Amino acid sequence: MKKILRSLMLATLLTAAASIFLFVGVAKADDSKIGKGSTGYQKLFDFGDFISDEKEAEFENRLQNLSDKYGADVVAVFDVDRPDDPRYKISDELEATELYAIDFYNMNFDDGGRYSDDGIIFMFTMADRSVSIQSVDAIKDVVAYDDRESILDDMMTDFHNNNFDAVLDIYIREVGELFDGYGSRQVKQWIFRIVIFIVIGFIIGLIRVSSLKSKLKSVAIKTEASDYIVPGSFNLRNSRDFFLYKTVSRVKRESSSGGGSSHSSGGRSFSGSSRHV
Amino acid sequence: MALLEYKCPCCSGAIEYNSTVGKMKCPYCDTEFEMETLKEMDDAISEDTVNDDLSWDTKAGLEWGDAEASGMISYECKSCGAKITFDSTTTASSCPFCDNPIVMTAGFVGGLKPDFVIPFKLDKKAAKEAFNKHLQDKKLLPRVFKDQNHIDEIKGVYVPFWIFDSDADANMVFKGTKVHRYTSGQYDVTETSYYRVLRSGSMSFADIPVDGSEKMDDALMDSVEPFNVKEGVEFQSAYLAGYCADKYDVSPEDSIERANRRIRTSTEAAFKATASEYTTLTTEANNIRLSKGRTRYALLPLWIMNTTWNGEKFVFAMNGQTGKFVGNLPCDKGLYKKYLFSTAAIGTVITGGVWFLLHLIGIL
Repeated sequence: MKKILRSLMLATLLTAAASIFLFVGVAKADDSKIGKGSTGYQKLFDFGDFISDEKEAEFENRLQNLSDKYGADVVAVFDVDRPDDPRYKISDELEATELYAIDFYNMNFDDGGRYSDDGIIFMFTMADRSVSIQSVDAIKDVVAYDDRESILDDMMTDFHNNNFDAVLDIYIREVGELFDGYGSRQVKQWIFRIVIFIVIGFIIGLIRVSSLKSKLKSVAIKTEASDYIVPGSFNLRNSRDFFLYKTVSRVKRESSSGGGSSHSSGGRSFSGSSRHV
Repeated sequence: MALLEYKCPCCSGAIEYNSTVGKMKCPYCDTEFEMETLKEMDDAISEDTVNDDLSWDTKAGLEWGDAEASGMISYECKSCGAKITFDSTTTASSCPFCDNPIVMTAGFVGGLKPDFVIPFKLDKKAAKEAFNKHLQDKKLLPRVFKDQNHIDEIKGVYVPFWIFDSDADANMVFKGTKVHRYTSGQYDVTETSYYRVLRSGSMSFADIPVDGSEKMDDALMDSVEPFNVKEGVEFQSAYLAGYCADKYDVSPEDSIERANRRIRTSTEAAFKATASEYTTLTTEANNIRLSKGRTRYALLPLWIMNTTWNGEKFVFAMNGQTGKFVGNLPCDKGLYKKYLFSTAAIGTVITGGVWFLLHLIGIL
């Protein structure tokens, strides 16, 4: 009877734990809001008139809808050049564009803490034809390194053709798709995590029972005779070491963010990808 | 069949070796006798009856004196084939190896006299206590096995061992690597340097025991080691009183490979230890020559216990000199599953909890 009760308690404990994890995951996934709110400010900044006039309002509208729906500022900036600021006078043009994107987001999307910092910014500067996409805070998980690289890949042809309407369309569409799919991705992630937890738990269980089982075994063939070496009898007569050859292997270090760059600025955390186009 | 009995000069009762006092003791009148006294008595009997043949074999063991041989009885187990030697005072009813009833055959014939014997230091009571202790703190041991504790008989057995001494002279060739890892710019660099490592030298081994009994499980015999051979004494049949002795059925020539294997492993390990500065060390060639090899034949004291559980035979052994107790125990499959799944469940919850906490504080 005790055994049955224990087994039932165990099964209940395991089911409850799995349910809690799954509930948290699904509940989070069901909520369409990814971030904690959008500032409601202007989202499209076309300083160099790169976007056609007839499309500009439509794009602004789409960016606003996307931002409101998911609670994260989705921003796009097209500029002729970076501002004349010593901070951007660095040899690495891509890093300068990243800094410009981060500064732009910090300056224009700070609402005194009323809304979350979550969002994503697309920054293009014509002078050196550099582009950067920076995911901010919670959006780093939604639009990750691979996603940003994929978006940039898809934009390349249109960048070469200077078709900026198409570039912006790709940005809005693909970010929207990533936001849409985030819920189901999260459910899958939670299921995957639960499986991982169970596997780790099972490995811990196996280690424990192996240890307990090893206590039942005290009989084994001896393969060495170290107990029977006469103390002080070891005499090393000759000891010579010859260098033969050397091999050197170099492996490029992976960035800690899994690719791209990482910055913290203005109390926010940015993860970005940049390239020349 | 002539049987040798050690009779108490006081009451004529059969006397036996008492491991507690380290003397022969009469269980009837409690009179104790020094071993030397009995040895002199043995010698006197020998002088009276036979001419000593003290010609030594260059290998292990001595020739039996007729008086000694006549004082012992050999039993042959029909079940496992074990040839067991008892002194005449022993009244065993079953084989200590397979627990089957034994059949008395001819008197003691053939074989070598041991060079020395290590007398029992621990008695049957100590063996029982050690067995009970052996069953403690074993969570996967079947409860019924522990509760029933149905060891039928505990038998003190002198097991034949070949004791090997040798000097080892070795030339070793290793391939060694030294790995140096560092960071250079955006690269992780690994430099691996390869070396040929030559070592030569010598070392000595003494008192490596290898059991000379075919039916004794080699692993069981290895596991009760070590024996303190320095406490070995000249063999006298009187030591067998109250115990039984297994007769060797594996020759020293057949046993030497086991000793060689152990010497080779330890020699290689000793030379490898002189090159600890290498990250990896692989043996490319080893040449080990043994010299001054010496083999001795000894009877070493063991308490042997048998039991059967669910059709499987379990044999336990205790070193009668040091008290080291060994023997594999059965595993309860139900308990195994219970511990596996309960630990897995707790592990799952803890892993999830840790992940959740790390996620909350932003590490994951």
